[in-house]
Amino acid sequence: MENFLNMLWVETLKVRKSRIPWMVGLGFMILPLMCTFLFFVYKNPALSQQLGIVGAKANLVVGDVSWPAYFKILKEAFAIGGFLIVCLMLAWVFGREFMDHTVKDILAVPVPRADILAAKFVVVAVWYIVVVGIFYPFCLLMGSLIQLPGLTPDLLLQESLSLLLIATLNILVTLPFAFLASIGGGIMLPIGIAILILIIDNLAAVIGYGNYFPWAIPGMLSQGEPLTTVSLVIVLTTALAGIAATYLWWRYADQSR
Amino acid sequence: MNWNIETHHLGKNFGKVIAVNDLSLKVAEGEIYAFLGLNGAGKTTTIRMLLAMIKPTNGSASVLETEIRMGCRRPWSDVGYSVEIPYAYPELTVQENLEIARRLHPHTSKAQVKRTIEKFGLEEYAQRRAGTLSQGNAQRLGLAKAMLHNPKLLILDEPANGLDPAGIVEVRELLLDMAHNHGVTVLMSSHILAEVSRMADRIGIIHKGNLLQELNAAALEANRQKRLIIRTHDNEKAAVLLESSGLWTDRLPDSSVVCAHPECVNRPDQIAEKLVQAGLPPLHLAVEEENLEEYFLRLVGMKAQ
Repeated sequence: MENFLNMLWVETLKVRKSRIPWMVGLGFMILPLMCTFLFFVYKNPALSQQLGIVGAKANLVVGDVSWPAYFKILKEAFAIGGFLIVCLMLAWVFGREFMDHTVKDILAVPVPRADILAAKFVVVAVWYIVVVGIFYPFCLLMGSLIQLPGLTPDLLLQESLSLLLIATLNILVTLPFAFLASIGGGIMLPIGIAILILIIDNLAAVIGYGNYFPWAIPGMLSQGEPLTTVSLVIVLTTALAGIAATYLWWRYADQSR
Repeated sequence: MNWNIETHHLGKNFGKVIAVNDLSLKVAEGEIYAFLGLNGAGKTTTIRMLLAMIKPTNGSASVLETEIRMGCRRPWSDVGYSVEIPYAYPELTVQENLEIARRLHPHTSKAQVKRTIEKFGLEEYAQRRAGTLSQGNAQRLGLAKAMLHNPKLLILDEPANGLDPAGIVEVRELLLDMAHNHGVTVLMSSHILAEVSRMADRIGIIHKGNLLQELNAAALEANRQKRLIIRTHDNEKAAVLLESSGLWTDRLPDSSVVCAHPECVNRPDQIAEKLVQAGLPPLHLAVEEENLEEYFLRLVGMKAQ
């Protein structure tokens, strides 16, 4: 436990002192700003006309000025945005050791590699919880500022739970990206694969296999599909496979970088 | 004798490339053993195998009497190392980087960070971000990280790289003190041959993955080629005179006569007499010994042929 706590301290220091986690977290806050802006434009037909293509986009996306419509768009954007920021963060936390050539300093040490890796995963999870913890109240504040109608305690509870579930699924399905960052020795491979997966997500959803493609499942949920047992098993298997692959690679693969 | 490093027929192939071949060596407690070799000779690959960073294709290695296996936890609490160019987390300060190294060796006291900063002359840079350090100070930080936890064994890849002359002397004295007064074993690789010859108790010459030769200072002394350098006011005549006596000679670019024949090297007084009798009194007569660099290149060249 002492080793793990030490490594947690180390990983927290690295995250706290780097600009990347702050920039990614702040960048994520653009999502509610964009959603709120579209709703604001849609609410004001004169402004919508004035803004031309932006106004047209708002008319196309929004459709209804209400909290349920706001939550729907927010969840869809969150399913994609949340996936991307966790990918980026995992890629950075694991891949930076290779990019900064510091990996060799954490290999021949008395601290087990499992503790080092666990600390990295936990730090990403805590960072994500903090980001979502800021993101969600910020979304509610933005919705309140443009005075959307139709917010009830039931709706708030239901949508909060739904968002929480999407957030949890997002982090679970992104765990294999730690492995990709490790074998790729940086962030390029995981980011490239993440973009490819977003394309495949859409395809899987269109042909009716969205519930079976792990990375499409949070998106399916954001569109109101229920979470099936099969989907849950697929997500959990993906997460476990990601952790196991990362651990086995760090434990047994040649580290010649 | 306690062997702190032992390898038995150690080998590593990367595909068809043989990086290290059948390497068997032993390094005793308190000894400074230097690996000498050209780039790509297999020095770093050997070091990485000893540190369980890469898996040997053949053979085995033990460090501090522990057989090395991938991902093993022992014996790293007693081993300090620096592989290739030392890097640090660039956005963290020197002190924070050392604090991380301390936490990677959990039984190291907090006070040791301060002591190490002082020992390596890094006080001025303690609060400076590692990414802004000069190459020399980055090297000092790398060595400080390796020695922070007072290891029994140091494995250092090119420890003098990037250091200024004063830094080289400091590191040399530090390593000599650790080895000879505190029983620390040092395995180092270096390109700086003068450094190696000043520090190492034994030298292992590695070339194309093979350990060509292991020698201590006495063996190096015995193996070094010696030659007599002669200058007279007529070097041409002097060369003809020596060759007529069966002593083969060669010429240096400045036309000096060189004779490596044992008779020349062991009895320069007789050669001087001979030259004087022939009316060619020597203006310069000196026995020169091949230095480590020349010896190394000769050895590598001979084997390469």
